[in-house]
Amino acid sequence: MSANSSEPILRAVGVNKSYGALKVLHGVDFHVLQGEAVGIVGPNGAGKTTLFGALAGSFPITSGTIHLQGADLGGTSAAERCRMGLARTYQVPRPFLGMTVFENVYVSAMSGMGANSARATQKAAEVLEMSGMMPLANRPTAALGLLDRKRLEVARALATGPSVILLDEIGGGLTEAELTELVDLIRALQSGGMTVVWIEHILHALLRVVTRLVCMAEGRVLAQGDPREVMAHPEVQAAYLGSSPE
Amino acid sequence: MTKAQIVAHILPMPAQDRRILIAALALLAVLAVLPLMASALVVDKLTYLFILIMFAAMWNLLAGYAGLVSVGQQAFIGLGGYAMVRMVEAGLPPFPAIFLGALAAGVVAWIMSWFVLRMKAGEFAIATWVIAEAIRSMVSFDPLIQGETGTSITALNAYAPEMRRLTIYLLSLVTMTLMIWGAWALLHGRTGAQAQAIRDDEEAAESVGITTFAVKQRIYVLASIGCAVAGTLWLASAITFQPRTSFGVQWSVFMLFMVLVGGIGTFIGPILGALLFFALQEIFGDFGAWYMAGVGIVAILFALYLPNGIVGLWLNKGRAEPLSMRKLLSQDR
Repeated sequence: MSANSSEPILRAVGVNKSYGALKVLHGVDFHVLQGEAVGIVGPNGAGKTTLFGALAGSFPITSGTIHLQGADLGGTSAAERCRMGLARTYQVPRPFLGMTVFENVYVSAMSGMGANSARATQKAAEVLEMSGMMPLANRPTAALGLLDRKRLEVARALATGPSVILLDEIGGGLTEAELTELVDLIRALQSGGMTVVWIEHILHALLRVVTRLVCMAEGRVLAQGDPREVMAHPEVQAAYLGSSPE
Repeated sequence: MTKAQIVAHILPMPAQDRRILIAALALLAVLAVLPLMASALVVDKLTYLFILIMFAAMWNLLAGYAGLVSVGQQAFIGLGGYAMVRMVEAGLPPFPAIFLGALAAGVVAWIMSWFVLRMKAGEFAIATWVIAEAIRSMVSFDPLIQGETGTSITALNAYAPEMRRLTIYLLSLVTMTLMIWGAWALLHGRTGAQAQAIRDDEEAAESVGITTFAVKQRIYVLASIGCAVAGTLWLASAITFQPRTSFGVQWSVFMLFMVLVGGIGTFIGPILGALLFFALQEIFGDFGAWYMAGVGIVAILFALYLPNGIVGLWLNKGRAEPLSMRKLLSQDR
């Protein structure tokens, strides 16, 4: 890998996670640089979402360290990590179903940025405009379809004012046109300086955004680096695409 | 930036809600002077109605807006009453003891919150009930309470009955008004928005930066103090403290009924539910066991035909929910 002078904005070292006898993450090392867009691929059960959970503080890790902008995240809650600038989305959207689209984003701005009502309203409006959801602002969330729920996941994460955003399979289940919209949104975010980490099975969408790819399998990092080199890696071919190396 | 600057704001209160508030203020003014012309019986009954409204509003705050379905709020009704009895016994005048007793119950709620709020849904509901029963047993060991016999706050007899009745009526009216206004302000603010997010999905709420435990704790302690003060006001009019009555699970059943029948998670629903429950008690109250049957039948009818409660009558017609907590965005470029 080429030498890069900038420090990683997010760095995980030797992260292990076990549920009883079941070991889900085996000493995972992972980092992402300021403003970088990194993709994570791997077969189902590779530990990708678990890695997100570990980074975002959804559960305590068994061992290892995670740093965000140089600060040790050990012992911090998911809410604290969000307020420190680390936002995440969920693979299966988890909107606040009793609230409207605007209220979902508003409460996120208020909580993640510590904004007052006026500032949170303004931030929510900006995020809704950016994600193309402004026409749906006062719609009850329960009435939204899948694409809009996925967009809301992203909008809600953005409203917290993150420096790093973790996107978990937000492309799944979308049509090609919807996917293009989503890719455009993520590219716009990245060009605005945001650091993006994106788990995705839809490779062609992912490869239009990321400059580096990490492939995981069985709770380990198999390979990482230039996306095309990673995808050509024999072990990755075997684990991810199911074809055995020649 | 080529994008047009967005200027956005939350729409002000709708005209319908402003009319409801003006009507409510007028009603409160009438209620404030009513004892001058109403009989003692009417004053007593209205006092009880105010207490029911407080219970309903507090349980709705817990379950309707924060998703905390407690079946143990009687712990604080009983504890507030017990603290009041003890304070009066120690020489405090009974009227300040109404509020100080409730605050003492709030301290216990704060301590309990560290345990019970780590539990979810059904576990939480059962735990609150079990703890209420455990506290009842402990209180009945106090020699002053004499087991299930209970004790009377005889210091209240030092006041002329008319004076006592009027004071408790006015205290209940003012406390109910402050409680409803307080709940309104709380729900419209940061805590209300965060509580509703937690009610809908606690993990997702945490992921957008909400310290879920702190928000739940705030709501739990406030709602417990609210139930306790409604309970001590009730005790002040009933005079006799008996553990089985004050710590009875029937209080939670009443709250549940009023909130579900009125419309859970709506602001005005539980108040309407309390009015209906009060009316049912008046109608069926003299029929012994039929009273419980009547309340049960009404609950079943609502579950079958009006699952959103009385407020559902508005919502089913496509009308906006009166006094809604909804924040509507409006933008102008």
